[in-house]
Amino acid sequence: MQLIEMLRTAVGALRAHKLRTALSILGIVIGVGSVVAIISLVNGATAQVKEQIAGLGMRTITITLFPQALSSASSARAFTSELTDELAAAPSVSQVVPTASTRGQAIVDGVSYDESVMGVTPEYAGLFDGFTAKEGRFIHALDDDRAVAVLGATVAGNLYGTENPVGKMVALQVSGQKVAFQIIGVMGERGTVGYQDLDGMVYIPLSTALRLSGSRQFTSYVAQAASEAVVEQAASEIEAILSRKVAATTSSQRASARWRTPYDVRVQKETIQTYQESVSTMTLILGGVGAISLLVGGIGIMNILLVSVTERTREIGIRMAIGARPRDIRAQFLIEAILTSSIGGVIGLGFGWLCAWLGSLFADWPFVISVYPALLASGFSVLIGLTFGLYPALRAAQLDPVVALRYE
Amino acid sequence: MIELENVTKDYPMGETVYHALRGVDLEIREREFLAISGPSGSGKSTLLHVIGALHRPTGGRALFEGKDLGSLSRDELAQLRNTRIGFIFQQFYLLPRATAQRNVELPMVYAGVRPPERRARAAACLDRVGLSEFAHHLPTQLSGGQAQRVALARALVNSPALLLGDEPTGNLDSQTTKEILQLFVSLHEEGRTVVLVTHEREIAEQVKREVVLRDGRIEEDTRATH
Repeated sequence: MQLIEMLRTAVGALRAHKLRTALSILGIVIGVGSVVAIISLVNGATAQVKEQIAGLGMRTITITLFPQALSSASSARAFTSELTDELAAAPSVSQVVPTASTRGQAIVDGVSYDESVMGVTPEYAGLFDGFTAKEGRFIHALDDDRAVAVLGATVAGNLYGTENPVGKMVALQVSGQKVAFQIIGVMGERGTVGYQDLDGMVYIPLSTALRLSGSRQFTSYVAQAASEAVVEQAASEIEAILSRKVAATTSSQRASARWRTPYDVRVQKETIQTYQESVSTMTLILGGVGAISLLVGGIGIMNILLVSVTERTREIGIRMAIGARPRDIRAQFLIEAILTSSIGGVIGLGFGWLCAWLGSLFADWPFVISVYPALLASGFSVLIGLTFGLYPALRAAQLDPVVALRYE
Repeated sequence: MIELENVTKDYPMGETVYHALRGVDLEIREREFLAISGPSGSGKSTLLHVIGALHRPTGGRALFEGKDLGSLSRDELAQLRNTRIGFIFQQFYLLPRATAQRNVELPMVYAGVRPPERRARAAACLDRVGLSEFAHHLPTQLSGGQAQRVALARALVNSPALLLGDEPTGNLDSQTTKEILQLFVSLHEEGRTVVLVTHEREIAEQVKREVVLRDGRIEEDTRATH
């Protein structure tokens, strides 16, 4: 029997029980749809986070210091500008930019806003691709020790709305001191990079920040490895320097249980890898849930087909009596199953993409059409039809023609 | 054409075994017109099913055109039914969702005949049984006589050598019975071997040879002299 005839027969049989067919298809639609949607959403989320993390650069190493873990005297001796030079001198490190951040209040028209204030050097903005001033300019070497501030995009919006604040004065209360700062620039939107919301910061010169806080302490460094290949090497060099430094300056081992070490060296690459690992775990779990619903859909098809074989026993007998071979009957039911699951697969694909698209709209991350998993899910739906159609089809083909004819 | 030697056929009936045929010897030659009669339960239908390659015999030998039906695979039996044998049943056994035309085409679908030829041959066979106008009717839209004609057209469509009827007029009124019988007679005259299972005297009278079964054995085998 030709394929076209089998398809024609299958379509006829499926159309004879529209509701039943629709429900069978629905099972597969939900299965394939959820797998496709999950994969597409996860891909979108991954793409977004990757974009954010990658903005920081694969060569980037962030060093966070926890001065609280040390006595003030030893931390004062440990984390100083000499340390910056030492870190920068490490063979695999090309650049080290120190920062000092603190919480503070910005007071505009008598209203005070809690903001993160970060002391930075002029090199800081250059660490992030596309992080440039939208209005005015970023901190310059000539701003050393001056009371000037550059606002992140979100901060500027919060404090001044759509108004251009460049040239205005803003009162910043940092470490108990209230100082008037002149706003010299507003940064363009850059979003969150690593763990820092670049748009939610007030940037002031590092020297000014240190003077206001009355300490010589940096709170973190951002370092660049000489190349992507030596990132790990650079990180271990940095760790070695830090550990030597801490050991040398700490008379009594006061490093408490809360901080095993008073510093944390984080390689951007590692963060991406960690993230990718957790994403693949998520994909596996969610994909597993989708696969289970696909399985349930397959069982639905099998169930309906078994009912159909029983109902059509006489039809099977008639076909056999006029010359249908067992394999023709088998093919007929298999084609029905595959047709059902394939229709479900195609609709599920569209449905899944629609869900992923809607999801990406709400979550505000890119909508990624992933072709390979989509093909996989569709192919899998055909396989489901084949697998779950096989048993009913074999049962139909095994019928004895005379017994089948007499079936009431 | 058909040689049966000591053919037996058993059915399992729960714990016990039902012996439908208990050793049947029968030879049917080409172009014969033969009726099998007997009381119900005598094994008439079973015998016809063995002759028509629907059943393999349990014991003995059944040859169809020299081929041992007991040793053929299910596929080979199907092919035999498809190309060499035309079967007509008391209940017509048409596919309810297919038109008359489509029902008649079905054996050709399994024989792999291309659609244009299929349509032409189906139309010719429907014409042969006088149902051209009903080609696009569904079986439910046909009378019993019309439905049996469609079944007859379906049986003829692959030009089988052997036509088998299992009480083909059992569900028809006497007028229609006559018409259907007339069709069988003319098909026989065209050169086909015809075997009918019946318990109607009217049929038995028209045939050249009557085999009477009782309890799974042949009780009488008479050839008409007319």
